Amino acid sequence: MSAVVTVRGLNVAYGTLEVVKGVDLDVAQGEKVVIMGPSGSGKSTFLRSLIWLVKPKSGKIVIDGIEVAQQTLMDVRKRVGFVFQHYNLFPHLKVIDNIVLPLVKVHGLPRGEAVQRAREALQLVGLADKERAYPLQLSGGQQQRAAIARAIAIRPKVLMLDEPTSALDPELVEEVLRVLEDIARRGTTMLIVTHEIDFALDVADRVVFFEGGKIVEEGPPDILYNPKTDRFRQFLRRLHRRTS
Amino acid sequence: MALENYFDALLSVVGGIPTTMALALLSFAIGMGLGSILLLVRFFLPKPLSWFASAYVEAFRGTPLLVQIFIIYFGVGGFLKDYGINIDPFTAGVIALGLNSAAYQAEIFRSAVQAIPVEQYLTAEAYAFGKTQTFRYIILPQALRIALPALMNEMVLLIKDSSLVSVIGVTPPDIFRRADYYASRHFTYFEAYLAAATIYFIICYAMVKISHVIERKYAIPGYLRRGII
Ligand SMILES: Nc1ncnc2c1ncn2[C@@H]1O[C@H](COP(=O)(O)OP(=O)(O)O)[C@@H](O)[C@H]1O
Ligand SMILES: [Mg+2]
Repeated sequence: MSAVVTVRGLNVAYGTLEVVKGVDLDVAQGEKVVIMGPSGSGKSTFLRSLIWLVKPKSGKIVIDGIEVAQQTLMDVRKRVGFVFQHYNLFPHLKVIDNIVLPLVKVHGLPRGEAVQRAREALQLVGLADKERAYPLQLSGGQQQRAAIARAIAIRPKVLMLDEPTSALDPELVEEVLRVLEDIARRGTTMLIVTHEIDFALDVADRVVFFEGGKIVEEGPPDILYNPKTDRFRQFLRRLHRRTS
Repeated sequence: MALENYFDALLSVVGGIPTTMALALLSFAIGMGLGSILLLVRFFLPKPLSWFASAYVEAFRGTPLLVQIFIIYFGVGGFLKDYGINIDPFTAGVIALGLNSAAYQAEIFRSAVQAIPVEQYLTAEAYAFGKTQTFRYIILPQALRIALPALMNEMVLLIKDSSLVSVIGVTPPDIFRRADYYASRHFTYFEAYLAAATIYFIICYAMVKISHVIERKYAIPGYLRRGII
């Protein structure tokens, strides 16, 4: 299987604070990779640096066969759907226009076609009846589903999600996870930062444990039952105590 | 104080409304045009140029409006007169108020743009919007809504500040200058200036009410605001 995302020797820093330290990662076509790790371990920074929202200090990133560089940046970003922890919808635009705007202005689709695609995406996330609502009129779960619709409407080669459910009230987490499971089943390549163990067990092909800006352990979802390293074991135990 | 004198003064002073409103509206438009340019310079152009924009803003904010009016009318106007160009008091007044308002409106725009969460920029970047597109479709529409109350307030300030232009003898006379005339003709200072204050208040109060309506109309739906009376 060909890799959609290839990362080699990635280093990212904020000034002198080194946050990502020499990470290597491959994500194959259709693969679902779940990233876990303690708060502050650099997961968000890692994900953001893949499309240069934070510019890496060194390393090589290839996405869909294109090496990320200044000249290829826009091209690469067009192939990535990004979902943020706090949804980040554009509050002044209706839900449908949040999805249509990048399709028309960035991807150059005719408006009619963009609206069509936006409606399909909204259908998929169960928000067909909310297309004319404004983001701030929706619940957190609905906003996040709208943000997911915005991401999948561009038909990304890879979907990157940074803790998509961790800003949500507990009773709203499930509706978002169900949508993500649906999308996963459709064969979309996904790179997800999440601490939802059950979701990882159901959906992930591989789980990556991040700590101190490094990948400490990785493997099939089974490692969630049987972690090899003490650090991952401790992390999971703490996570378990928090959620049960 | 005689009530009939007050009403008589009111009738006379009302005639100054067109000049006052013309001064305020024209200078507001100039301020908005130049203020927007200053914002664009600060948003898009490199540091040294944006420093010029900031210097402009500080120069006009840091000196009294009356002094600016005198510099434009007597200073620049006097200089141009040597070259056969005459600037009448009204034009000088509009230019001075407009240049001054540009500085304040540039600040209003700047703080509105800065009030937009950095996550909005990040999202625009992630979705491959260019800098111009980000500004046009994501930042500007939100910034204008944020700026609206302050812009309406600036309009009210201009209506009041336009009274300063009367000292260079603006014609036709504005509200304040008409009150001045009336007072010195009838020796009824209190009534005349109270009449002027009344008219300014009515206009400004109406502007505030109108601005609330506009703010509500353009508010981002779902954006909760605290009800502060
Ligand atoms: N914009 C930033 N500027 C400076 N430091 C940052 C910034 N964002 C994150 N950090 C720091 O980088 C480290 C990793 O943060 P982050 O990538 O958000 O971790 P995680 O997503 O795993 O919680 C933390 O120490 C955090 O304080
Ligand atoms: Mg994070």
